[in-house]
Amino acid sequence: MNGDLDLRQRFEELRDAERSGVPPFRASRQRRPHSSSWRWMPVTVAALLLIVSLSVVFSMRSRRASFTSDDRIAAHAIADWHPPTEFLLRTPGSELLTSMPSIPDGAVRSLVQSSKGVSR
Amino acid sequence: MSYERTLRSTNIDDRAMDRAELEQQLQANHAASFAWTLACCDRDRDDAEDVLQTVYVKVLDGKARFEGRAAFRTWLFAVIRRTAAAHRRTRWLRRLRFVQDDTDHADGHESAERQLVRSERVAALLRSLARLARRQREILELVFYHDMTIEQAGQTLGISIGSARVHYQRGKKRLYALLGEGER
Repeated sequence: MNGDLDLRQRFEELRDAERSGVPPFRASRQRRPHSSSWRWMPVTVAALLLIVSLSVVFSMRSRRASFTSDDRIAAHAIADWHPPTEFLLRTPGSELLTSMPSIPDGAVRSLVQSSKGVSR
Repeated sequence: MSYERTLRSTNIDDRAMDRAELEQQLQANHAASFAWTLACCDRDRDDAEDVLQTVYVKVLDGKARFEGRAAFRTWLFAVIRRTAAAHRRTRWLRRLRFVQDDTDHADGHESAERQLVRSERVAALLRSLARLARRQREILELVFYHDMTIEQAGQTLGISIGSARVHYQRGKKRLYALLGEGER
């Protein structure tokens, strides 16, 4: 396979070229990673937390509404308002749907007595 | 010690090692490890040196433990790959915080790519490799650069031999195409 051979040769050339730049083992063994690698981590995290908490506080403060007495009066007026055509929405007998019907005591008693008579 | 002899001498491990043995093995594999680290760090020499040092510390401090389930080199390369991946993930953070670090290092070393420009074929290979998917690039480097079998390369990358074969074939095909494009 000529292609594979060519590829192998190219990689060998790459290997030869890179081999000259390999640092000595001792140097790699003793080398410290970037001195600052994690030193500033707590500071960065603290700064990020501060920014986030400040932005949350400010956004909440701007969202909190403050009402004057005039606002409250207006709000009550709006809540109490009924449209003049509201009566059109009331259907006949709609009160039956919102209240419990009461049965007179006498009627209940006579019903009980009649049911006893049937069972005998 | 020649590269090939190094490979032969490090493919026979099948047991846990003590610190002295580990250090000896790391030293024997140093050149190949550095080359693999360079490949995992997109050929950024500073990153590669940092990653390799981190790997050595991990191995010698016992944070990464060789248990003899694979050849030492296969295991070491897998550790390097994982460490380089973690390093890449935090790179943006480091760049954000330490802009001055980049300038410090810039004058320290000539970039790996610049060193290699003298060989146009090598430069073309590097350019083409950079355009491959990471998995394809890694498997080709392991097979062609480090003379691993596809199975060993799969073990290093933590993938099945079937997937390794697919990545290898597709990567090779694309690499030929890219090299051909470059030469036209």
